[in-house]
Parts: sequence; C-alpha cells; structure tokens
Amino acid sequence: MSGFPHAEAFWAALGPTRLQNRPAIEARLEAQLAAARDRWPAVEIDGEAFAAHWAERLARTPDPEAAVEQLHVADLYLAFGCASGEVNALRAFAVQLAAAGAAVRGVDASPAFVDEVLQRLQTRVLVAEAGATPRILEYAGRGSLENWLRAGALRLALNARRDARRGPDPLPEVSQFEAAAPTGDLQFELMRGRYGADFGRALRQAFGELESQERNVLRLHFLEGLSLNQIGAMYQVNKSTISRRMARARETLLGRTRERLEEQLSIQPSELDSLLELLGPRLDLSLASVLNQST
Amino acid sequence: MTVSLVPDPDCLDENVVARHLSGEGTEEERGAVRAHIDVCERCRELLSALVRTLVTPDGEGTGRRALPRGTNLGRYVLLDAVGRGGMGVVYAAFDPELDRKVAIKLVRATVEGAGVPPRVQLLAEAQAIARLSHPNIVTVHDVGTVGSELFFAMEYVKGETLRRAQRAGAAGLQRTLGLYLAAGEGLAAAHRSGIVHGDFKPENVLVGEDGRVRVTDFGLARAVQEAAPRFAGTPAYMAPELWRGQPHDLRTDQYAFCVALLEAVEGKRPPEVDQASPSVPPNPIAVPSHLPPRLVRLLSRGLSSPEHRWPSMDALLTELRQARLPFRRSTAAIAVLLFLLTGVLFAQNAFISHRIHQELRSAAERLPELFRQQSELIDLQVNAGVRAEGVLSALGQASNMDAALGLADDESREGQLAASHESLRSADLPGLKGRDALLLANYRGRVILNQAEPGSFGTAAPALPILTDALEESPGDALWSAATLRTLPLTLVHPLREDDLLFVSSRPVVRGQSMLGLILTGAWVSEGLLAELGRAAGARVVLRAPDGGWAGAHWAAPPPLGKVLRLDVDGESAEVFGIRLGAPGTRTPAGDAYLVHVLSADEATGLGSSRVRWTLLALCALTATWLLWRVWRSGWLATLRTERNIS
Repeated sequence: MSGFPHAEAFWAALGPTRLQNRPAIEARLEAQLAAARDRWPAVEIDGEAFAAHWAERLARTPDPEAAVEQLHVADLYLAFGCASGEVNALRAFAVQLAAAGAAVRGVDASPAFVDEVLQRLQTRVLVAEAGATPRILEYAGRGSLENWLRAGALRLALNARRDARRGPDPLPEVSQFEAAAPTGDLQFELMRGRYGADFGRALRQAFGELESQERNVLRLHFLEGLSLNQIGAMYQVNKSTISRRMARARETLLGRTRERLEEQLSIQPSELDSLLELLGPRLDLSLASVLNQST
Repeated sequence: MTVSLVPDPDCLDENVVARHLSGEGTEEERGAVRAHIDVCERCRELLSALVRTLVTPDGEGTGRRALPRGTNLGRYVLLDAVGRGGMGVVYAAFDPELDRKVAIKLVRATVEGAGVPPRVQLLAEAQAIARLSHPNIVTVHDVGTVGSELFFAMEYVKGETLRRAQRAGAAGLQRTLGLYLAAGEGLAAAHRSGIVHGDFKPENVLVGEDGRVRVTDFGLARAVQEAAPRFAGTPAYMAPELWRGQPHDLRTDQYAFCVALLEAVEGKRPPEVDQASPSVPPNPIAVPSHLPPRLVRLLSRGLSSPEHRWPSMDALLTELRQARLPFRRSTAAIAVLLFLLTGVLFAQNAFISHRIHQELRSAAERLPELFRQQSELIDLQVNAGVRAEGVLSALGQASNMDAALGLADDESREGQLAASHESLRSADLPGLKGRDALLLANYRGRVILNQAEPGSFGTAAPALPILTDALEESPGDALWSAATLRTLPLTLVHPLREDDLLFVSSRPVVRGQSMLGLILTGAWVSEGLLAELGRAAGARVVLRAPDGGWAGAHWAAPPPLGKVLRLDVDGESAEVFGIRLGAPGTRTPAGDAYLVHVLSADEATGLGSSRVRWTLLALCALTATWLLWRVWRSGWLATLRTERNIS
C-alpha cells in the first residue's frame, strides 16, 4: 500500500482545517514518518494511534500548514513510544534524560541532587496520574524533545534549590559597598573612601529606574555572569543587539547615577567627572555588588 | 495551556521554552517570551540556566553568578569581587585560620564531554601549579573545587596588572624590559618544572606595590577550555601553530611572551585576530627595525616558527638581559667617567692655583721685612761709621736720596743726586761682600738711573748691568731685585696705551718660578725701546693683559684664579699669575710692583687656563650631564631598584 498508511485516522483527528492539497501533505507525512522510524528502528508503536496524536499536535498549532514542515516528528514519535511504555523508546528516553542531567549539574553538581531531579522528572513525565495520560504526551513536537526535557529538568532543579534555600538565609547581611576590598589603586581608593557609599546608593537608585528589560540584561550579564551570546539566545536576538542594548543601559545608568549624585552631593562638576571616570570602568564590579545586595 | 511543572499558569511551558530556544518560534511568539521573562523571575532563571548549558559563552561573561560578600568557600570568607575576566571571577577573601587576606579565583571548569580530561586530572594539574614556588610567580596557597568550579586561593597582590604598569611606564624601554625580564623569570621557572602557562599576556602578570613582578593564572586557560583547545588562550597572543590545532607547549608560551613584550616596547596592541576564521593562522608579526638590534633579534626569533624559536625561556632571557644592559651600562659608565674627569680637572686646578697663591702670598709677606732690613742695614752702617768715609758719605747721601726719590719735583733732588753720584762713583769698597756689595751696587745703579735724562732710556741703561751683576752676587734672592727696580720705571716716561701692561724684571723669565717685577701701565714704550730694555736687563716684557681687571688687584685680595697675563718666554707665550704689592691706591706714577709666578708648562696644563681646556671641561660636564639624564630617563635606575626587590 503506497502513501500515508494511517491517513484516515490522521484526518479524523485533525478535524476541520483549511489544509489543502491532501495528497501532497500525505506524501510529506509519509516521508517524515519514515524518517522517524529510521531514527528509532527498534521502537514499535501503534501507527494509527500515533497518526491521531500527531494530528492533534498539528491542530493545536496556530498555523498547521506551516507546522507540518516544522514539527519534530521523530521526537514526537519517541515521546509517543515512551507514553505507551515501549521498552526501546524508554531506553532512548534514558539517553536524552542523561543529557538533561548535564544542565542540572549547572545548578548543583552533587550527584545526589542530579539523580533526584532526574528521578523526579522521569516520574513526572512518564508515570500517568490517575485518569490522565503520561505528561510526555504533552510534548508538542515544537522544539526538540531534548530541550523540552532540559527545560523540565531545570525547572525542577531550580524549584528544588529554591525550596532548599527557603529558611534562614545563611549569608550575612551585606550593605557595605564602601568596605569593598582595596584594589591597590590609590586614587580609586581615595575616591571610593569619600564617595563610595553615595555612589553605591545613587547607582542602586538609578538601576531601579531602568526599564525592566535593561535591568534584566544588566543583571544577567553582571550578576549571573551570562555572556552576551547567551543572553542573545535567551531573548532570541542577535548578540550585537544585546551588546547595543547593554551599552545603552550602561550609559543610561551612569547618566542617572550622575544626576542622583549631583542632587545629593555638593560636589564640583569637575570632581564628579573624575569620580565617574574612575568608578565608571568598574561599573560591572560595583553593579554586581549593588545587585547582590538588592536581590 | 496544559502544563506540567509550571508553577504559574502564565509561565512558559516546556514546549514553548524548547521551541523558543531552538529558534523556531515566530517573531510574535518570541516577543511573548521576551515580555514574559522580563517580568517573571522564575522563567528568566529557567531560561538563563538553559542557555548556560546550551550556549558556549564567547568570552565576555564570567559564566557564573557573582557571589555575595560573606559567602563561605571552603575555609575562606569571600569579600568583594575585585576583578573578572574570561577566565572567571577574582574575589578578595579572608582566611580566618591564618588571619590573612587572599585572592580567590573561581574558574569555570570544563564542560564535561569527550576528550576532556577528567576533573581529577585537572585538579592534579592545578596542584602542580600550586607547588610552583618562585618570587615571580603568584603563590597559590590552596586549590579546590566548588561544585563544578575550580578555585584557587592565591596570595593577595596589592598592585596593578602589567598592562597598566607598562602604560604608566612611559618611564621607558629599560623599565619595561626590566618588568618583562622579571615576568620571564617566572615563566622560565614554571617551564623548568614542565608547566606551560598557556595564556601569557600582560593581564596575567601582576606588578605589586613592592615592585615585584608575579605571573599568575598558570595553566588556567587549558583547564577552562580544554574542550576547544584552539580557543584556549587569548587570540592576539596565540602562536600560529595553535590556530592549526596544535596543543600549547613551552614554545607557544615563548611566542606569547614575545608578542606581549613587543606590544609593551612599541606601545601598540598586537594586531587583532579574526576569531571567526580560526583555521587561518594570523600573519607573522613583523618586528619594527627601529628597536635596539638585539631586541629585534630576540623578538624576531621568538616570533618565528616553532623550530626556529629560542631553545628555552632561559635562553631568551639571557638574550634579553644582554639586550637590556650593555649600551646602557656603557652609557652610564662613560657619563660617570666624564664626571670623574671633570672633577679631577677642577680639583687639580684648585690645588695648583692654591699652591701658587700660597707661595706668592708668603713671599709678599716677607717683602716689607726685607725692605725694613735693608734700610736698617744702611742706618747701621751710617751710624757705626765702620767703613770708609767715602762709603759712609755716599751711603748717607744715598739714604737721604730714598726720601728724595718720592718727591719728583723736589728742587733739592738734583743736587743731592749729583753729589751722591760723585761719591759713589769714586768710592772704593774692597771690603764689601755679599749683601753689602749688592747694597752698594744698588745705590750705584740708582744714582745712575736718577741721573738719567727723563724719557731717555739710553742714559739709564748703564745702571742695569750694575744691578744685574749685583743681583748675581746674591743669587736666588729675587726679592732684592724688586727694591732695585722700583726706581727703573721712573725713567720710562713714554706713555703706554691704556690697556697695555709692561712687565719688567731684572731676571730672565723662567717657567715655574716666582719672581718680582713691575707691571707698568699708562706709559708708552716703543717696540725698539722694549727690545733694548730686554736685551740690557735680560728682562722679558709682556703686553696686553687678557683683561684689564687683573692689574688693579691687590695682593691682600689675590686676583681670582685664571686671571693671568701672558708673558713671552723664549718666543712662546707663558701664563702668569701675579699679586700686586703695596697698599691699595699707592701707585707710583708709572706702575706697580708685582710678585708674579710664571706658570710652567705642567702648571699651565693643570690650571686649565687655556680656552681649549675650559671648553673641554665644559664639554665633559655637559656630555656627562646629558648621558646621566638619558640613563635616568630610561628608567634604568628604577629597573635596578625593581631588580633588587625581585631578588
């Protein structure tokens, strides 16, 4: 039998759509299914049920016609196999889970923590709660299964860490910008000794007045230590865009800090200039210090 | 939206997150995610944790969350972050056990994967680095791991990076070379232990407030980025073979060292390397030829292909030491020698002129006594009447004549002179010897002189041989001649030109001796007359003092050194020092008596009185000053200080 074997089930599950040119679509579906089977040759699933599941996922996309091309069918295939408890699918799933484990290690590298998070993730996505399907069927095939699992694993890890941190804060209260470690630069020390506290306060105020995205970008870079390309990936924009945004944010921040200092201190403009000239280049360290206190 | 793990219904579900990060979302979807993460801290945290694992940082981020003050790290308590770079964050920290401040560097450990050394090995390598002990290597107290990160507890160096130090060091080539020499020592010490730095650059060298240079971050570049060895290191300092995928070794360190050194001496950054096309090694770096030749050779070899580089850092440093010192040392040596020479010349000058002055002054002090003795003797002889009557009478008249000589217009003078002339002429003095004979001859001479026609040397001339003969009977007593010759100028009434000086002495002028003479001013003498006078008296004459000031000086206040007359001695000009005799203002109409010292050739040289000599002296001093200034400007002295601190 040529063509897509479970076309009927597929169209039935898809429901009324604007999809035209069924034969062409069926040819695409057939090719994608073949590719998925090639990827997981050992995974045996109920083709008809999968076709229906596939169609449902497509129906939920805003633009099914485009989604036909975009869906990660092989990953969807594997997820479906896992949900039906297929042994070889579960084996492949274990490999993907291990990959997500690497991400968890970034939160906390202790093997116990990683094991526990992965265990909980596995339970949550594979084991069906009463009267429901396993959560892995919620995988929509948009984006890779691996990233879907990573996101889930990290969410669990972050929640776990947050829970663990709830309770008494082990860190002492820090409010001493001016007591920061000496750098050996005497002029800088002098300025910091005189204006450090004011500068820190002004910087904190100025930071609070930034737009939330500017704040976030600065925080991600200076506090979280993300590189510009990583922040770019988060926002799905070019690295250079982030770089520009960051430069603008820094500029705004320094400008506002200057305004605050002018308001609050009786200080000669020339001295203010040299203060900012001196403290400006170390804005990142100052900012990290300020952010650490305010978050 | 059915979601599994999402804490809040509005939060992004895993499907959205996965799609967002795969870059497949539409612009509308991406916008929604951006808007959400800007307000939702949890989802922002989730995404940032995800990109941390999915996206390799490209060097500008630290890769880790900044730790707040007070965080415990092993036994250390973190203070503030003091620096950050591609390698990680450096914190100042406190070690309560040893009650000291340390610097803690937290380093992202390698992302684990195939071909990456296991953490145990990394740690072992870090510990090997910690075992390095050298004054030019930052001491690592402790190495450990925190989660997935390595940490190094290191000595806390108060100071600045070499990058800053060399920029501040417009102090010059020598200081820069000194700093690099010290840094090179650290690198060489590590190399001897088989440890490769892997990322040598000015940022990884600290110059403490104590001036000590310390290399830091050994091996960290590889520890951090073993997974992508090509990019381990800082592109601008990476040797070409690294771009071809070869591993770091001692020779790539040498290359990096040379790039940094060239950068430092040229004051320009090395050409930026296009990191986007890592398969293309950068062009070979050209060493500018205007640098000192040794340095050019050193750098060219260090920047050449691996097999042509220096066999070791030690070899390179030997060359660097040489490149740094020789010309500076010789310059300094020449400067010091010139200064010494100048000093010796001045000292010699001062010594010789002091000696001559002493001699002249002591002679001058003896003069009044001698004059007194002379007149006492005459008085004695007159009063005692021990000699022939003729003599007595002659001497008596002559004694009176002394008074008369002071009075040029005394009317009685003529008669007195005539009388004494006659008695002296006829006096037979067979018994007179030595000084007495001289005394008599003196008076005879005077009488003849005083009978001479004013203005006519011819009539005065006969007195001179008598005087000279008498002087010869009392050899060595030059002072007597002064008394004798006091009268001579009275006969020379021809005016000299205003600026002319005539030196008249009864004795031949001999170099290296002091003698009495008269310096005549204000009278005019013809050339012929001078020659005649010279022949007759064996005197030497001199014309034209180099400056007029000398003639007016008084012996009680000797003329300043170097103010000399020039005297003609045997056709050569000799230089003369002199002091005037007599009280200031007591000038005879024709001139003053001077006690002079004719410089010997040696003394003349020693005194530096000639113009050539003064010029030479000034040149020496100037050159020496200039050289020393250059040495100072070069920062060589500062380098010496630095070296003392290092060793």
